Amino acid sequence: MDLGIVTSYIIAGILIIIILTVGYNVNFSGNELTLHESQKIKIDAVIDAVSYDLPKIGYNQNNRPDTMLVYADSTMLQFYSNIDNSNDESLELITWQFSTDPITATDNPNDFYLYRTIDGTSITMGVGITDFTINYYDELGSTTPLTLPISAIGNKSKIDSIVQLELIIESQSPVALQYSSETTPRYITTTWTKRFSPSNLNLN
Amino acid sequence: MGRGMIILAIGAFMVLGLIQFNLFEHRERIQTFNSDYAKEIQSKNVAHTAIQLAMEQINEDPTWQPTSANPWTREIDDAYIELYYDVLATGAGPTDPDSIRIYSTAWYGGRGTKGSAEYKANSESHQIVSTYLKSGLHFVPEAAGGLGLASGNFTFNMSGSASISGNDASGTCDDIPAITVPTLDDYIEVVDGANFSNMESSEDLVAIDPDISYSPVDELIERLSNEPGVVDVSGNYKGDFGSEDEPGIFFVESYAKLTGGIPDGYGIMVIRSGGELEYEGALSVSGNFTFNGLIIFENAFDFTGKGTPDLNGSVLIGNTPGNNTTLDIDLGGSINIQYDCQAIDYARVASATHLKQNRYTRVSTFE
Repeated sequence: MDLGIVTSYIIAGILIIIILTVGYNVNFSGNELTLHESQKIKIDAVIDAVSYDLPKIGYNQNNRPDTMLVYADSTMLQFYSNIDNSNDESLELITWQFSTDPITATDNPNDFYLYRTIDGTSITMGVGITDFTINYYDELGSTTPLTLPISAIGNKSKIDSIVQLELIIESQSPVALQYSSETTPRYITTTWTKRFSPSNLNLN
Repeated sequence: MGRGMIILAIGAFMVLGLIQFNLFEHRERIQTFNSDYAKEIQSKNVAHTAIQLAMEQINEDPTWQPTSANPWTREIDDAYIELYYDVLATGAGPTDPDSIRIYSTAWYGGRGTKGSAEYKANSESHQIVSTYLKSGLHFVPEAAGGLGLASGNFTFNMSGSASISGNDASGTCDDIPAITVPTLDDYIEVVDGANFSNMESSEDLVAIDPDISYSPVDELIERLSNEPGVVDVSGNYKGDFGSEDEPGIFFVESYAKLTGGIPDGYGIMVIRSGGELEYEGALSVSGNFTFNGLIIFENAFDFTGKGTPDLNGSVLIGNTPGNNTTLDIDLGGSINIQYDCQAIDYARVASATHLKQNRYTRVSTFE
């Protein structure tokens, strides 16, 4: 056989293998990105809700509630706010709590329900959240979080010293992806972190 | 073979091109997400900045008040803002704070003409509603004595029927000493020259307060002297000395004589080195020269006359830093110095009006 033809077949073979591999990788990373973004979109509602609520901790139109933060723990936050900005200046008690109730509708065993409760009325958020951690700081920009839990009952001065909160939300895709070289399926993880400095906690 | 290789090469280019195209698409999606977040933060920051700028506007012109129907519009850092504020309540007294609520909205990152409906529709926007207590900054110190001697370099003599009282005439504040000095030596100097029968106070008649100082009052006086609207009292002065509603700031820096027909004065009167205020009896409609507020003698004490001047509020005498002039304080005639904490409010209002600075105490923020 002509050496030239053999060489060209080998090159062609290598080229095809390279193209197929690159294609596979791009396709996989595309799926990963799509799942990643779809997960982000899913938790957007949660992000919007916490981004709406947390800056309003302790808000009222014309005066400052005596108790703003009621309870602070790593997976639970309870505070007062005139969250609907009502002119009657009535305060609502808002609770954010990351539960240990698993979401059974997904394949992912790591996700749990998040609850937002206003004056006893709860909204359940089951969007694949696998971690919901809140850190509290008594100084702006501090890197040392306060020891938890802190309750306004019995420890009001400490809970009143909180000026900044860091929220870490981690969510995972409901289905897993498995790369050819991996032995176990992998859930696509999205992490969102933000520090909040609620204006009304920083009035002094 | 050559044709086959060309076909393979073209195929490879096409596949790699498609892959590249996909990668660009992914990158664009990530960038869009990140830029939306940046726009949101920028609009929020600008909304806060606009509030700061609005406060400066209010300081410059207290009558400036954009409304909901006619908001203040501006471009800040490539963002468009609309801002207005409502006065929720005005202070009960002239030195009590007003309550205002500022509404600031910023749009950023849109297309089209800034401020247009199209721009707003495709921008990231953020609104902040903040309530503040607005009070004028006056820097007028609390009175330490009916007569405060914030100098360690003076002689003191009190004769005739001159009187000093540290009891608050308004009855709304705690009484203070009739005379306050900074050191024991000054105390001895005052006691030697004082006429205790014409002094009164439920506190000490003469007290030592190491904290009494002419600084930073000297800075306040220097700053006020450069403000427009202060009155230079000189020559045969026949003007007024402010009113209850519009107390003023009056500087006597050369010889001035008050000759008659002058109503009661309100605000701050500063008699500086080189200034001399002479008055004749029965100047005012009430028969005496009366000034309500803060009377300051800086580096000099030249105040002579025949009548019965009433100085209601507080009198402060001091040297500016570096000035070692001995102040010959001779309280003769029938001068009456009466501590009155409400009269000092006239000085506060006058100072705040001229300084045009406000303190904004944030009550709440809705964002």
